[in-house]
Amino acid sequence: MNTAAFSKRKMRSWRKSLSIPYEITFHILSHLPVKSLMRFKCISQFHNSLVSDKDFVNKHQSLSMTRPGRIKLTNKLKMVNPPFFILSILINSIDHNPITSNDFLEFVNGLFCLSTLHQPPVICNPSTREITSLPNIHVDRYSQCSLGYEPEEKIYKVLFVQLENTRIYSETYARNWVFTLGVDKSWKNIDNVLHFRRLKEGVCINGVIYMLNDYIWEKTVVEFDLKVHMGYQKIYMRF
Amino acid sequence: MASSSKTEQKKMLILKSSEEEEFEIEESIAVQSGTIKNMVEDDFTLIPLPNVDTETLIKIIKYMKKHGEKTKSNEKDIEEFDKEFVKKSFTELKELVLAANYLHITSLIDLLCQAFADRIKNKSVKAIREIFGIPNDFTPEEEAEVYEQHKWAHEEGKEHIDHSAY
Repeated sequence: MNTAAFSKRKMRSWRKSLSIPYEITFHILSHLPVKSLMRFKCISQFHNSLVSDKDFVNKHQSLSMTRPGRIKLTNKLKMVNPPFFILSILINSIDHNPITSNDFLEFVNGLFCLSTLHQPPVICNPSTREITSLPNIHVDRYSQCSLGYEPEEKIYKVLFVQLENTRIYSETYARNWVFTLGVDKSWKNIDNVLHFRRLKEGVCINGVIYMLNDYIWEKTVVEFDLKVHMGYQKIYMRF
Repeated sequence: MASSSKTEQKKMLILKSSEEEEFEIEESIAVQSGTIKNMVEDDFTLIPLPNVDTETLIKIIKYMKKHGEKTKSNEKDIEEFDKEFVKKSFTELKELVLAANYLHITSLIDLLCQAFADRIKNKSVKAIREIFGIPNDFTPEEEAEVYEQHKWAHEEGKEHIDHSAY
């Protein structure tokens, strides 16, 4: 037997059992499509947690933006005919009424937030096909639900504003709740120091939700900073 | 050090594999490796690489030589080279990526990781475990739970799942 070849083979089989370092696994996985990743969660405990890790998801998402075949979705969509096949399937899979044109769909950083009258908001991830109903909260015509993404902590928060007195000429007191996805078990009430007249749908930019306080004589933009969290709101500008 | 001489004296380095075989290479090409670059800055000319075997080192040197002569005109040529370069067995690719990681050759790490991703994306979970030597540390109940959570990913188009470990 050729001893040099034998020891070479022995070294190679020893090397075979050397595990791939963490950074390389991270790197390889970040190039995979979501469907493969969801399957690969079954490989081991390590892979299961890595695929769901905030930093990994962030890296994967930024790489996805550079790949061909991506779909750019607008921020706000009124549901006329449910255009999203997967979304419809998911909505039907949970105890939720079918989507109607009165519903409000918001898309922020990969997640959908569906607001429907008299039902708590629903969060849906179309890539991983995950869907979850938020805890019970009263939703009526004077509620405003806004999904936001805080990029520093890499978490999603849902802001829920309920206007109390809805007579059109009077200023109304608003109550606010925030729900942090993956952290909170229930809505967190936040004290409000401002009064609104009519709040319109919000837009989340860089961890801050901006809403239009729309009134006949004046319009202002209100901001809710998701980072500061315990509800700092302020009048941003009048026009 | 300024030199008025017209003759190009290219500085050469010697890379030594784990099996003690030596290879001469131009410094300007070898410094594509961050690890080698650091050693050169510490005035090494003989670079021992105990983590890289001869076969892998030969491939790496070939890669660095090709990428060392990168110009605007031969981009297509290099692309073709890269495509052919990754047509190797998983074992060879694993050796290469471990070596590229150790040597800190960013472009090669990127190329290899993308190649891995392209080749494993349709593979079954079992095949992946075999290819990378990953032990299954789930209990059957735990694994079933994770499977159920993302059943659609396993069930939809499962006729396309590749079970081979090659």
